[in-house]
Amino acid sequence: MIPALTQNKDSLAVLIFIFILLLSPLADGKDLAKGGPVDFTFEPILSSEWACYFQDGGLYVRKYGSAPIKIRDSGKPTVSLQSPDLHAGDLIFVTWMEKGAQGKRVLFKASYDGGKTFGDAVEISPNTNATGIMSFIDKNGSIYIFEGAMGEKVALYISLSIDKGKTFKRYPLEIEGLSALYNLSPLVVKDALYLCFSGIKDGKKVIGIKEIEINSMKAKELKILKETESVSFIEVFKIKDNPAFIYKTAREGRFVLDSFIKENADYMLFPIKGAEGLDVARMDYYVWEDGRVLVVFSGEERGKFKQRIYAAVSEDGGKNWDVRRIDNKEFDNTRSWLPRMAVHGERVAVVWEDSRGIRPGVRMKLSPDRGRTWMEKDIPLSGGKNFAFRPRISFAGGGFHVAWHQFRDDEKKVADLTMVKLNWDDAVKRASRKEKGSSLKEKEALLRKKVMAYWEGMMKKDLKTTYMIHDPFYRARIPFDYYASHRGPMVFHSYSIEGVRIEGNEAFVNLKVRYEVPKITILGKETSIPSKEITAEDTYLFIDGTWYRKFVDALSGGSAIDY
Amino acid sequence: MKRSFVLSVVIICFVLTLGTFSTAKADTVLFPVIATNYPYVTTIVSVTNQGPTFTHLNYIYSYKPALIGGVPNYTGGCAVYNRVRPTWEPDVVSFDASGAFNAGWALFNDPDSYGGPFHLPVSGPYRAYLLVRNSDAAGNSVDVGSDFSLRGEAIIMDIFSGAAWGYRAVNDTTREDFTFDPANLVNSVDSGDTVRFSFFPPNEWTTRFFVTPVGANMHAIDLTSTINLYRARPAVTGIHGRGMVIYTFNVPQLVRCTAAVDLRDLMDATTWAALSSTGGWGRIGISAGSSAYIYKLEYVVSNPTYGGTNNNAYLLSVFD
Repeated sequence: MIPALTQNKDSLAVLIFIFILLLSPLADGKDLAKGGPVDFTFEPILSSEWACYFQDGGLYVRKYGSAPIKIRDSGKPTVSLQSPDLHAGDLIFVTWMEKGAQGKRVLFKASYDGGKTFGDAVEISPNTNATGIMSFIDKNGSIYIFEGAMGEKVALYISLSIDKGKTFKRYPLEIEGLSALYNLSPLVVKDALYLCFSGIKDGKKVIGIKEIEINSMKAKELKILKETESVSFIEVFKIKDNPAFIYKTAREGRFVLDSFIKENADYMLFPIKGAEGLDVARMDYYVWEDGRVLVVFSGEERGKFKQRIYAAVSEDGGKNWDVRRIDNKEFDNTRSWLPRMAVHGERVAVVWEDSRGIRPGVRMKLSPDRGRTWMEKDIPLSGGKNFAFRPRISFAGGGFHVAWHQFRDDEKKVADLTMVKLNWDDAVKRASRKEKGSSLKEKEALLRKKVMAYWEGMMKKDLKTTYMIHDPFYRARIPFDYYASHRGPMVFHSYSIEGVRIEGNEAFVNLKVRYEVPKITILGKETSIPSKEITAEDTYLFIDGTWYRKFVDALSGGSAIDY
Repeated sequence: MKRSFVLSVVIICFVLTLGTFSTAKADTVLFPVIATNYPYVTTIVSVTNQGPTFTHLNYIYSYKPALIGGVPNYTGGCAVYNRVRPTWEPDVVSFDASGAFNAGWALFNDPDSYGGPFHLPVSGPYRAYLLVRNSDAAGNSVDVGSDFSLRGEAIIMDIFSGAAWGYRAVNDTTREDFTFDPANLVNSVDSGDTVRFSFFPPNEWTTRFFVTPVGANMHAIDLTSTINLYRARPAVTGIHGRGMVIYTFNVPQLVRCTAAVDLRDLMDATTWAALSSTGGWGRIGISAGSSAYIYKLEYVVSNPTYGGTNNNAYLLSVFD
């Protein structure tokens, strides 16, 4: 076939195009690995090329391009699997909790052959009060599994394996003097285990750190570092073998991100200036060996703008920070949030959930130089017609791996896990391409046309037309027959467009509408509303290249889509 | 014998319903939540007058736009709108506070002539509370010396889709003026009190709290309450997810006059992102300012899983 085709330049061009299309990341979704339906209430966990997720009550792992592997079936309807964690490197292991009538236990399963086979589940704890577990592996290959119950009834354990998970030894941990413990975040630096925490001590909210010598599992010191407001999260890392952590709290009624870094024997406080006032939903970080720190986070200021994506860089080991926006300011009225980051050398890729197209999708931003500069454009990864959310990213095998959940349709009931791999050069090419879009003038003309079509339809009682102009999320839930039978008794006589305002992919249309209700039965009595002109503001959403009228419930103000 | 038994049951029911408190004068009633979004959303108000009474009732709305620039109006002050209408002993009058039905005049073929409408003449989404008090024809307050004169009920409804919820008006049974002393009220949440509640997954359900501060001179003063979410007693801010997970934050919201506060605006973004698919539970309370009546609303819009649009609300009780 191919020699024949080479005689026809047009056919060859078509073949090459198709070939490139198939190889090109995300082209028409051809190289997207999908599977499900998954339990989308748990975000996908991604480590190296492996993802971990729940499906049909069971716990699965899956390598990009390979078939899913069932790690655990709950076995009984009364047993639930919780708090999974995954680490994939030379050793691949999964940890999770099983909760049933007999209580909760912690389990571990590992693969020693690169994920071809997994051994039997190892019971780490036969009965635990933990509400969550987390696990990690240090550079010596020691595996740590934490069990923690927070609040007033604190229970902390660490299980340590120095033989790659064949055996574990479980130790109780204690943080003395607290009446409540929250946000426990462990970190191993050299031979010491550091437990960063927030809590309540003597009636005051505090943040602190406890150092434990790993070899003996004996406490070295407990430091209450600061009295603080409530702490929402703590992220721990090390800078040049010094423990450090960033936490979100509030000061004088404003949200702040602060950090503590160990210098010699003391912990020094360094606020991340530039993040003041931002309600940060989540952050991710990377620390290079020379002490450069890059943090990405999403934050918002209530009443001013929704969640936006920021990058903060510190050149001096976390003391001073340069904070800047890395997303598109044109879409400040929609949500971009929950960023994750992966790094390969100097190259940085950040992914997040982005609602600029109203239907959330996954977008990616690239920096070739450790966050010094960012490519101007970000890349749509999931495709505009897919409702994609909660992305994760990692780097392995010469490429960036991204996993996210994706609803099968706009009804948002059934979701699949989606995985994609793309190399740096392809990503850069995609970031250089111009995205298809409409000018503001084109958008306004389309909007006016759509508004007129809607109200003409309302006056003529052309419900098929008005139904189709409603947003796809409403239509995904409400079939036409139901819509048509619940239109109410209003009779519309006239309308006029008084003004339109377009912000990104959202538009607000001010109208005057004349209507009457010839007959309505309320509380069992028949009554009417005479002809009357009212002013109204409708919201329209630009989705899939056209405008739709956003359904808004009059009583609650609610709708079928949150962006 | 039978009559005595019936009387006992009535007294027990009355005590169970209203609690035990002194029976003095009480003829100003407070409707803590009036919601209008003409012509779609109305509040149908019914006032019963058992007597003693005077010649008229004074209807005093404290009202404000629900949104300002598309943002919920929690801290804005209220304007006051007055109407004076005749009354009789005994009497019941029902009206639509939005004015959509019968142009705000008395509803349901009321044979009495009230001489004018009762509604709040605004269009679009508004929040309000309503005070109803015995008065003369000029609207001057009149004490009638009874604790059983006035009572009231209200239904907030979407008149086209049929979704509705209702409540009973509030009485301070120790006085006749426009002060509602929390010490004499049942189920008002005082500063320092917290009330347990649960919430469904926010990505499907909306949870909202109608909050109306109560206290002195409610006809003339915008009272304020600061509300917070707590995860434990005494006041430990935060909330619980399902699966025994704890979230810590402190996001107070000031409410002036009256407001419908979205659960989202009482949490930080970290918690919101974590709980969107599960929901959870916690406590809502007042950290500063006046006591308040708090109604929890939860609704789901056009979701076939739950049979369409559902709307539910109830008064939160301080009795844990």
